[in-house]
Amino acid sequence: MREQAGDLGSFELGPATYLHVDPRDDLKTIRTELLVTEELRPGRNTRLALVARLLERGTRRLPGLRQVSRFVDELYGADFSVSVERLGAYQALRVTLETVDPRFLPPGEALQERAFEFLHDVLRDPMVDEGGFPVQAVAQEKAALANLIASQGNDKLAYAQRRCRQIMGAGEPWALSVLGEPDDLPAVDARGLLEFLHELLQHGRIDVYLSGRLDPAAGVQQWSAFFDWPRRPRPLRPDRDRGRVPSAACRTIREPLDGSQGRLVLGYRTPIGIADPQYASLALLNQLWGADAQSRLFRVVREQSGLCYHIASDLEAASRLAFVSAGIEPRDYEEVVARIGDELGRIAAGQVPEEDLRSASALLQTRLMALDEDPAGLALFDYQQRLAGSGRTRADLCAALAAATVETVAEAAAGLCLDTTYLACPRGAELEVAE
Amino acid sequence: MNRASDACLGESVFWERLASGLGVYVLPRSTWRRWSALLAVDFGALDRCLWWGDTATAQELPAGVAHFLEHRLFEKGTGDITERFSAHGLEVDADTAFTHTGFSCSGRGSFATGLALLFELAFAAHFDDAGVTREREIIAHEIRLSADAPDWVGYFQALETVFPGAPLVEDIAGTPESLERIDAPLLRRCHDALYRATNAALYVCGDVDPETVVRCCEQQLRRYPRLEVPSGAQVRRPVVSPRPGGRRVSALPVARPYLTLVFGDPEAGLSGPSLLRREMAVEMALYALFGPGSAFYCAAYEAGLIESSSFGFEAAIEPTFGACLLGGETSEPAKLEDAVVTTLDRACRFGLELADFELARRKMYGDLVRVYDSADVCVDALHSAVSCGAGPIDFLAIHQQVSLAEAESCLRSILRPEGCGVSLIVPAEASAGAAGKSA
Repeated sequence: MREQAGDLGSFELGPATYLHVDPRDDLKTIRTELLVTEELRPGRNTRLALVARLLERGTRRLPGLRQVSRFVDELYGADFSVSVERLGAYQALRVTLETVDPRFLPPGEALQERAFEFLHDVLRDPMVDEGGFPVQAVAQEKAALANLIASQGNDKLAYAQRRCRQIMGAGEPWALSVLGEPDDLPAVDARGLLEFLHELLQHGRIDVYLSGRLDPAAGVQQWSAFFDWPRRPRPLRPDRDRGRVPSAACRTIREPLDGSQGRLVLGYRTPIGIADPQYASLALLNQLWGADAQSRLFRVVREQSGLCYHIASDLEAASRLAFVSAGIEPRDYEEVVARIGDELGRIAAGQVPEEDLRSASALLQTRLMALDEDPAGLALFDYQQRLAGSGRTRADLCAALAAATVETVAEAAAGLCLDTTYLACPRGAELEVAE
Repeated sequence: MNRASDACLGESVFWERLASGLGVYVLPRSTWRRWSALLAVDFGALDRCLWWGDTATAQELPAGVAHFLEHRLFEKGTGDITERFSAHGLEVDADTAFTHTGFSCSGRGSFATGLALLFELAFAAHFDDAGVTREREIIAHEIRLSADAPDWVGYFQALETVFPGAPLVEDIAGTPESLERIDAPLLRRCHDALYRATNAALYVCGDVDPETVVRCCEQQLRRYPRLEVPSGAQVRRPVVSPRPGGRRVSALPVARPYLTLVFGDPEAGLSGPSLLRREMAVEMALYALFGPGSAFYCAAYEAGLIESSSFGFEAAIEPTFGACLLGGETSEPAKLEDAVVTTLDRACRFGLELADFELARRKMYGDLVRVYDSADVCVDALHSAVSCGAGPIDFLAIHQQVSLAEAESCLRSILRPEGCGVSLIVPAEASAGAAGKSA
């Protein structure tokens, strides 16, 4: 076993199996997060979405949703969930359990032991029937997932963001939905899903994050015993786009929307990923451009021009993407698009006051260091860095933010290529836009 | 300073009411490097009348004025104050609720600077006509943006079924018509009348020393002498009693119907620990009956009537009104409504299962303990307790006192099937004939 560098105490328990410990005496909860990561490929997103739902529904010892729910309630309302995390070209099954530290419970509650056994059961001893997940439960979850996918359109802005991503990324793993695709559902069966889980647990990369009042050595011992099945991890392919200059389609798409206001999304590509040295400059560009209420888009498009209520830029460095989204009146489309481009152009031309850059840097550094008191946020930061192959700590990133200049931020801005301008336009307003 | 402690959690809150009337509540955490502060002003969306001194007449306020004021306070004539927070690595935000407007700030170090900026944000006003006109457009965008969000629309539509005509059924941001009635003189008048020390309280949690916080507040108050003099104006919030539940249906562009059932509290008007106790009791009853471990949840989930990501319930028991809301997306709203009402009817007649109640109690205990792992959540919890007249750290002690009989009593008082209001959002193309049950 090897201890690794990073923000947390990290240990390699076996091949592609890691434990990351954040021992803290001042938390009132003990949090465990387990991630099993694989490359994101069509079809596998749908199966992972279903498996996550099925694992929440029962274990052999707690065979049913009700039994599982009552068990976690018995653990003083433990926060238990199984979900899917997507990061660039990878997807992960994420199991989270947060329990109250025994110091704050009546004596004699063997909470941690029961929680540990439960987590093991969730992954290794789920509720099964005749070599697969129970057929009835699979049918229910397929129907529920289909409904959930259909209901995604209720949030009009999220819908527009998803459409823009789909249009930009045809054939790219990052364009696949975390919820899966409705067309995949009929071919998925109960037995195949259980095989999918076994395969994932055998071949996936595993990261376990622990935080709370913990002894790292005891954690290593306990979690080494957790992985009591044969593991033959497949190496995750490194970031294929590293160093590649993006080519952008420069397309404009308008689609009708049943809604009260237009939703505009601009999708950009960038050559900079999380592990690249220019990442800090890219993060600063996002902060200056549109990430927050002090950013230019908020100030210029919303506050000075009154053109919208919501406007924000969003960076997805793991996928080398950036988005700007806004809720607008269709008649303002041309003006809003032009202003978004103008503000990016100004940053690319180096028109950034030094004090604005220092403010953006101070804010990002504060947020990074505030992860000290946010175990879930710290785990996510660490996981993103490791998966990107960066090995960067928060202190490293803070130093890079402090060292960034107007010129390096301008370079990051100049590297952004507008790929897709997408407008979901309320029916009836379409002609107005076309004219 | 006054001190209130919870021995079990090892937490203490220090508090003091300054000579100016400002309440200051501090929960120090010496091992943290971050702090979070909430400055809450007792003026919210429900406050639609401004009373001056002993006069019998009130000035009526248009819907959305508290929210409009919150937006405009960020503009300081020299620019948006957000940029000055950022320059110190400080986060800032604001929020208008039914009964208060909250201004929050957090950071690492720089507490005195953060507090100075927070006071300036709330108490130094600059209203110009051009800015107000622009803000009107921005808020109109905000109203339109939420007009097709089924949870938002469903929430207010549900409240309308049991509190028809009350201010709480109107969007916090107001309406396009009410925005037209808000201008710079009105904002100035409201700010001058209600943004006073006696009408505000500060809550801080994290890497701070209580005495230092008090000293910083006193120092800041000296910069705004106006604050220390009561304006003589006040808002009065009459207790709102629920009407027998009505039924409202509207159509939106959604994939599936969205059902919300609402129950008004006929005994609204409590305050202090008894209010917190009632809120916890009804929350435990709701969890015992409709939580993920309940027989209802299991059956409804397996029948496809509810979906885990959208089904939920909440209790909001405030000094002047109380409401419980329950619902989510469903393909079969009539069946879901029947299942909920049948469950409530049985529980009102036969009571709660002791085992279900004990699990709900355990679950709530865990949730209350978890509050103290986040400075941001802590300040909200302190405000929630203090603003209803309870002690800042009363939650856990009150939680221990809630009995099964009390939960059942609240259940029979609030969650009566005959008092149920029904809000249904149906997919737009199906609105003509898919109204669930007849009105």
